[in-house]
Amino acid sequence: MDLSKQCNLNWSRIKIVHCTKLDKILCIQNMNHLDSVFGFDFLFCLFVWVSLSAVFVVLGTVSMEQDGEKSHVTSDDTGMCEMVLIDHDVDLEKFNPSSTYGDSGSETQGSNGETQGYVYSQSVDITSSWDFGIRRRSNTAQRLERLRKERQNQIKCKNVQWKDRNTSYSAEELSSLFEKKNFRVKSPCSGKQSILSVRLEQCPLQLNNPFNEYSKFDGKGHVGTTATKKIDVYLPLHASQDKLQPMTVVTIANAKVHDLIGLICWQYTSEGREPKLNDNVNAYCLHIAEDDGEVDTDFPPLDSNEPIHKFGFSTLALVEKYSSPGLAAKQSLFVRINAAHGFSLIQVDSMKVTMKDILQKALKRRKGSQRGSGPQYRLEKQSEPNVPVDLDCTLESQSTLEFCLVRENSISGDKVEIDPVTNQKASTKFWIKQKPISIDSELLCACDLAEEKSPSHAIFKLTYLSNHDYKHLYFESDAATVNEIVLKVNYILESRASTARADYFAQKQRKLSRRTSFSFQKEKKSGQQ
Amino acid sequence: MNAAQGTVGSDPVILATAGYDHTVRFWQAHSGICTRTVQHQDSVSSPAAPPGPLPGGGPLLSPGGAQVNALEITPDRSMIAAAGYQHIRMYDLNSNNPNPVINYDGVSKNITSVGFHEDGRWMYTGGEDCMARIWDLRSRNLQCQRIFQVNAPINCVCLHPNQAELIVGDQSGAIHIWDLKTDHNEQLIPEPEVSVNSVHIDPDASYMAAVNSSGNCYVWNLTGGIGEEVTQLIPKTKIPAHNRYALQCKFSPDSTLLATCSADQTCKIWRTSNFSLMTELSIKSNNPGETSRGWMWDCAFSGDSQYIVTASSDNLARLWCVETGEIKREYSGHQKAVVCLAFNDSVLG
Repeated sequence: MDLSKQCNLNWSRIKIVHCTKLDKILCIQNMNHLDSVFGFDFLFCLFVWVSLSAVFVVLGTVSMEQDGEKSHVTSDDTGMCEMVLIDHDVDLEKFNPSSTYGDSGSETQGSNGETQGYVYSQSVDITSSWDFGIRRRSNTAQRLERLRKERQNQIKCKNVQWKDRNTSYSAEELSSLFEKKNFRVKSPCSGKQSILSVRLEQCPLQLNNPFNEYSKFDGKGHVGTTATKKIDVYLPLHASQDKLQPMTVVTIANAKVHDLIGLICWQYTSEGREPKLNDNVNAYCLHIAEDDGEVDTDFPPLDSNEPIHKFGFSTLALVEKYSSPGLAAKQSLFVRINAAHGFSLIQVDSMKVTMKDILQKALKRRKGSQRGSGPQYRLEKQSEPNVPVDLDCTLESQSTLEFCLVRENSISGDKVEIDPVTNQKASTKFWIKQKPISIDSELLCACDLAEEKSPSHAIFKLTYLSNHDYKHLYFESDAATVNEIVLKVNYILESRASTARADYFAQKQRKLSRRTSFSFQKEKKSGQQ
Repeated sequence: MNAAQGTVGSDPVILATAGYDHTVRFWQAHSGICTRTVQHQDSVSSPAAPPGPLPGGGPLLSPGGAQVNALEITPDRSMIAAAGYQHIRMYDLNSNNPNPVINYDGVSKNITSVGFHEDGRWMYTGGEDCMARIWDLRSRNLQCQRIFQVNAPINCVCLHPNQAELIVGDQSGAIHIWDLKTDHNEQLIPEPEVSVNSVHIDPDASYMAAVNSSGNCYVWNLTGGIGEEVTQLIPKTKIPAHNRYALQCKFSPDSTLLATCSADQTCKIWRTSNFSLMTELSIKSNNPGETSRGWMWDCAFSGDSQYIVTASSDNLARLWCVETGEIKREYSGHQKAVVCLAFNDSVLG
């Protein structure tokens, strides 16, 4: 395996958004490959180096790739060469009647067997088909591993060697050992059906697996000979199951995520599992899952085009991509809850579940939130903002499966809590504070409309006391919301007599009077002229 | 593997396929589902010395590799034998052990053919080392262990229904009849210097068929073979079955049909009443520009002779209706060519 090319390919795909976690995983992947060649110390240094240089790697992507292209590649990672050889000649190789055998020159011997007989004397199945050009003679560790496994298997397996029987037979011995059976005694079985025929009659439809084209990514028969990856896949929950059991899939390591989804669907269907899957592989996506089957929503679904060996995760979940509401009732439902930090997929058993249940589940998911003491939330339909969903209604009545989790009562008598929602489409103006803040009303001094550019764009300013200093915060939203907030806050401020507010205004007055007095002085001076 | 299903051996219908992809796969024949996969790995040691040139030409099996050349289920359905390079591996059908439980070796080169005495007393093999062997499976002192040597690599071995005569076909075009009881043998050479690839005798011992690399199928009438009677072979007919190598021939359990498989992408089914063609099972493409999709390597009839399973080098095995030639099921999962299969179907009543 050409390490430099392999590493370059991996590094060039680092995306800075997911840098921290994926980066480490890539390191581990690289380490697995490197393990066979380098010692552990080197790996540790490499790991540290790679972590530190992550940013530089992204910047240096272009130059690295160029270096990779210039460097000499000795192996054929694409497998195209051997595909041409194998698929074309597989039958002739087994059956070659015409060409002379010549020197065998099999790939393990480095002899000068590169004569004409060479092509046909190659065994059809030795050449690496799906791996990354790992050749036996160059990868000692893999070979040792296989030897070890072989030995283990051989221990359980009884070995019988051919032994010649030295003594010759007498005629009587032969007669008694090898009797000629009267075969005519056998009862004819004509007219009777075989069990296969009966079974075929009972299920006449061809159970053609719509995902047959993905069966080639199955790595079960290749463990130990080709790079494969074992993954536990959690499947959509069946109505009769209360506990999720993962299905183990072994895939060829250079399959893409899309191929893996196809393979999962193929295996699912060929094992006869119920309920039946959607025929279209594109209806599904893979999410990282916890060991207990819970879908990890911190990460978006795995990108279909990425090769599976890039990811270190061995537990995934097959999830139906959510496209339109009210999907087939048979499949388990996922309700999408959008929130400030991203989205969650909540699994529900049926459309009859109440919105209250969904809200509770969504709140549970929100890491770090505590019931009762934390902020209040409400659910809104994604399509209908600012309209709180009636919690007693069922999911069915909502005619949508996508909701928003919104903080309720951001402004209450006691506190002003602001959980800014970052607008992902906006430019990278980070003057809006990312963290939610909570200001005690006691400390709140003023809230004013700062700017109203357009109906969709307005800014208000919050002034509050923090460590004897007055701090200002600016928030942006649509005009309607901003005005509402300003109104509400001022209402609260006026209704409460807070010392901080009084002091603030007092100070403001002083400032103003100072200014006026200043100008007055000036005028006085000018007046005196 | 679906936990609800039992082991392969507990199912009255057993279908297994193998080829070049290091696996032997078991299928639920009526549904097409692959129920079990066992590993047939290459041994890590490389072949000792390159073999010399082979005369006459014929199926050349390369050294090394984990390909399976032949599959056979034991008569008691407890195990399946996979014949490969320098070994025969037995896999347990009554468990889900993915590894072989017995490994027979001590033979050089590829073993091309394997079969069993109906009582399971001994196993017979034929190989490229020009020897047919009888492996005693029961007695400690290996009473039944025997060797029969010919002058050319052996492609096929078939056991007469009387359990005491072994038919051996070799690459030089000779068919040997080895009488195990008397140790006599005789030769038939229907077409000199043309490799014999497959021989088969029908369950009634009425006919013997052999196919060779010219694509011809020779049929003999059989008489005798019981008790003290010597088996007689009387040439019946020659069918110019295929215009490319013929690789396999099989009689149906009810002896009314004979199937021949060929490199011409077809499996042809002939009536034994008059040896006329009944059905052609083809995997040829309709597109004239498309070259061969694959060779038909092996076939097996269902218990009532209504269906036939074929193995081909397009990585698929298929179930066909014998009468209509319609494909009923496809068994997909192998990553490479499927060159052999084993089928054991039970009959009702």
